[in-house]
Amino acid sequence: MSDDPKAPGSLGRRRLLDGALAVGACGAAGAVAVPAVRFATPPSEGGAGTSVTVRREEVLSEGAKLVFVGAEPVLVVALSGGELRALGARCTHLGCTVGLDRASGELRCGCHGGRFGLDGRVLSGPPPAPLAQYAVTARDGLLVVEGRRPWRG
Amino acid sequence: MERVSQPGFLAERYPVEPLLRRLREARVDPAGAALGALGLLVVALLGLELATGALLALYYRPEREGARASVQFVVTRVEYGELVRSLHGYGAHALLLALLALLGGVLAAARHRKPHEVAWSALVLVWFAAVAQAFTGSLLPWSARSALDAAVASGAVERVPVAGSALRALVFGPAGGTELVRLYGLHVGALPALGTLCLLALCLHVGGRLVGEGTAEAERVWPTLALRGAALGCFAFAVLLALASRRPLPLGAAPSLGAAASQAVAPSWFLAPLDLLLRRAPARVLGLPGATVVVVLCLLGVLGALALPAIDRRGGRLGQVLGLAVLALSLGVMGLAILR
Repeated sequence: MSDDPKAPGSLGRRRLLDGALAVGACGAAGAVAVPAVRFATPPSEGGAGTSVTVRREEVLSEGAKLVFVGAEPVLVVALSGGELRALGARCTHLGCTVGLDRASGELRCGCHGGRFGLDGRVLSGPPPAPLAQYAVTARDGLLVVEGRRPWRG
Repeated sequence: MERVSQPGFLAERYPVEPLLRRLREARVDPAGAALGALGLLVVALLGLELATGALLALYYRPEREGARASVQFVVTRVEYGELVRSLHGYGAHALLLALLALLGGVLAAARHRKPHEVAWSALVLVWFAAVAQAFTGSLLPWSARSALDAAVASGAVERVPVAGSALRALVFGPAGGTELVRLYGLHVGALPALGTLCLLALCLHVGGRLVGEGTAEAERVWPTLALRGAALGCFAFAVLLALASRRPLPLGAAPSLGAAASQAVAPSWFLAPLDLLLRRAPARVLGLPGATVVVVLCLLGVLGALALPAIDRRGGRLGQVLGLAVLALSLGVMGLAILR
């Protein structure tokens, strides 16, 4: 009889039911997990392409000035000839903020010992790439650091 | 008139007598007794962390501007504030040390093999949850050091292949200084929940095996093992209390705007092995950034630790020796970091 659990057809049906149950459980878990992960993922921030102004004299007197373009830290540095550059201050190793070491005239990251030149090149340590560079333009006696499309190298 | 003895109020509602009887009859072998005492110490330290953490949560504000001020308020204005905060901080270190000792003890006694595989994986998960808990806890006061550690952790998470950016957004939230809300959420919600689930799995495993008379040298669970655990817990609490009252934890310097790390930064001792690898790895390995390779190796290490019983399945000792060697090496690096 088909009611007998040991009947040949019964085992196949039981497996089928077990499988359906497992698929259903996975589906239910997914239906909970996917919206939960999507909820926890923050919506992407706007603000790309913003710019910030900085006074030239401030950079020249201190050697470097840290500013924020949106949420990105940018270091405006004065090269020896008076040329100014805006470098992404996020270390390309793991993202610590680099700072100017006045004694050596280099940019240093104390987290893992990365060293960069004032042009953003890697001098030594674990950073795999040079610092990002931002366009700097002069406007009304102020320097404007453009957050749009930074480049490396 | 005949008097009928009535069960007490609690005994009637919570009939635990059969369980207690079973506990009184239970025996464990000497190795199990030592591990059990360490396990009880872990539970006692967890209780201390829970109690002090609940008190600190009454004042803490998870935002960049308010976090340090709220911790400072606890330390300087709240009665016993400095003591409670220091107990919480030192307790976390003690918990990690106790868990390391437990992991080492389980490996040395080969209690990670069948039928203890799931319990071993649960213990490994408890260890990683405790490390994450200690790390997120160290970031919450948002000192200059916390800001740098958060930047490094965020960068390291981003190095996870494929899912790095999504994972970073999940753990640290959107850019713009809201990371403390997520880190605080992890610290008081997700990580304790994971730890509790794993501990439950461990307790069910251990509790289910406390049966039988055992061998001649087997020891009583009640009261011998329980008293030993209690003594260990009291000793640890006395040491922590002395440390917290004599050398309260410093608050750390306030973070400056975009705190630049031009000075060398030392990691917490429990992250010293990872820090050493990140520091020493070459900029590129096989065309990949060195940090990515280190992160992948660490993830493989976590998987390896979880799956250690499978490596030892056929009676070999490879997993046990490998596990003990990694543990000893990590302890050496951590010890050097503490001494420095």
